[in-house]
Amino acid sequence: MPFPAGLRVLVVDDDPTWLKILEKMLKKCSYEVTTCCLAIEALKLLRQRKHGFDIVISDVNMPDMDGFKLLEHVGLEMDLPVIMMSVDGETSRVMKGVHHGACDYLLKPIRMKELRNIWQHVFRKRIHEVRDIESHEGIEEIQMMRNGLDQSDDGYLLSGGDLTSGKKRKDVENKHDDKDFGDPSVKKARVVWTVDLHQKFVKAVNQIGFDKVGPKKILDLMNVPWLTRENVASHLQKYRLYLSRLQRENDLKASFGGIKHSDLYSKDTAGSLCLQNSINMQQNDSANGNYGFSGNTILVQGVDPKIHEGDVKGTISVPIAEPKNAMISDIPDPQKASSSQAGHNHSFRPLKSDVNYAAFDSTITQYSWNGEVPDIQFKQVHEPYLQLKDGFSHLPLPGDPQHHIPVNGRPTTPSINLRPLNTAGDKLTAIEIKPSYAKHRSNHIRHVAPLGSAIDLYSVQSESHLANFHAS
Amino acid sequence: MQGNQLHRQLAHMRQSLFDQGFLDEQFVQLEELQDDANPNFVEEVVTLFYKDSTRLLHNIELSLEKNTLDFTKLDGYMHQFKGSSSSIGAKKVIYECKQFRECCRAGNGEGCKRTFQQLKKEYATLKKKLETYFQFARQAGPTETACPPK
Repeated sequence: MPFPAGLRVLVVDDDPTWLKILEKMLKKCSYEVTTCCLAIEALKLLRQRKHGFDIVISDVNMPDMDGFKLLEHVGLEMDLPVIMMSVDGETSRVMKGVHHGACDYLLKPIRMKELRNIWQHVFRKRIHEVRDIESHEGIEEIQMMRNGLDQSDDGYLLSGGDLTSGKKRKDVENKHDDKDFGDPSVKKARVVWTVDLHQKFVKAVNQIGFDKVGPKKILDLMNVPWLTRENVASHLQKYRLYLSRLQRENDLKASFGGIKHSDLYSKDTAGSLCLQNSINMQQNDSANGNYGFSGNTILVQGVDPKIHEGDVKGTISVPIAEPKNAMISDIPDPQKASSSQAGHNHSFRPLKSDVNYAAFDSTITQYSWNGEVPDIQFKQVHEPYLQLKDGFSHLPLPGDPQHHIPVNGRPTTPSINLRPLNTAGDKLTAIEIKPSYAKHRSNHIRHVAPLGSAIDLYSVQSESHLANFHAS
Repeated sequence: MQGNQLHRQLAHMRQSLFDQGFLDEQFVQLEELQDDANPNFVEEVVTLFYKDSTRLLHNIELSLEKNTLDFTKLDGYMHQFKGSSSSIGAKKVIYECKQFRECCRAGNGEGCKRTFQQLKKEYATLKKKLETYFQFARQAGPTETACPPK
């Protein structure tokens, strides 16, 4: 198929009329179109069909999730170009889109011409990736692409200007790292930040100390031979953006409860476990006991400040894998949990106040950084999502049998059956916190907000743990 | 021939919808999308719009009946409705949407209600006109979808 025909587009819009129109328009451009009217569905689709799409176009105003959040998730997890659409052309909104990583912002009513050009974003992104690799082959590839594109009408994308800036960036990056040269195998590979990889990343970040972090240091610690400094650098950049946004949002959120974006809330909900997407352990004033379960992720945040280093040993299994696996959200519905709140609170108590556990979605790296409110997209943002088809008995991580959360998923009672931690006093039953973070002081992790603090990622261990969230 | 006559009348009908400001350029875009694969595309879209927007209008209606008006909410609904209306190029309806939003921003409850009535009127008028138009188009039979005159 001649490029750009066949470009695989995912269009997301809750307005059925627009969705129909956009679908038709995109088909007229000879693109391969998939439509979605919910942001959650879209994310699900994207995760299921990793590498199945080239670009995402989404309306900013979605009922189930803020379009900007969707944008961020897509950017972080899948690294796909995302175009935002809106009826609203206010500069501030557009800026927001750009800030969140949109590669374009279209105003409705959208014209065919605008849609015809979207392929450029796909190319641009790929070229940037190539540049990131920083290899001689990269330049050749750019040239090849450029030659190929010259044939199309709007090939301005690959104008000399672009290349120049690309080179400059390259040079700058070259200075800092010469590690990536000549690794042809990485040339075209787009790094997929799997849960595993991301965990290593976060771990490294935490070890170094968020404020002292730098791509090279992280790379060294991670010890992943095929990973390049550029991969880490761009991932770090996203991570930072993500965290800063979380931080801002967190500052605004008073209490959890909104299912809509759910995520975790750290506030004073006295120990109520809120699941839908999060379990909020409210312990004490300073503790942010938040556990969020999203889709396939479990995010535990905050913790009882009483937990001290060394006390906690925990692992969180990260459920990754196909959506059916589960979401921990299947775990007790927080609302129902009220009664056993106390119990749960206790169980979480031992956690250090700022412990965050992030679970990653296996198919894509879905991370939830804790912090405050991880604005993570939880698969089960809404009720319906809570019920996984097979009630997720466990969430295996693909290719990583260890990450496994055996959850007897029935959102039965609130009690989250957590495995006891070997900490004195109340323990986190199901969640075992790896000692690794124990080294960190609480102020360390604290809120993502300060960004200065490290965010711990807890890896998932198989038998675990997390799993037994069954209502007891 | 009769066919020609019908087509001419149809074209005239169509043109007046534009001339009288009922429709804008977006409608033309829809017409351009219509093809062999979707020979009734425009009518389908319009039908879908009217079907889907009923719900939204109903929400606005309910919200306007409250004792204390929630202008933010109303504005939000209208924003959505406006977006939807723009999909078929419902020019007059869109105009009323803008007026409504102005009233919301000014906290003008009475203004909102008045504008909303006006909006509903335009919305209904356009619906009838388009229904007539499509019906006529079917009678007139298939015609090459030429580029509509500007």
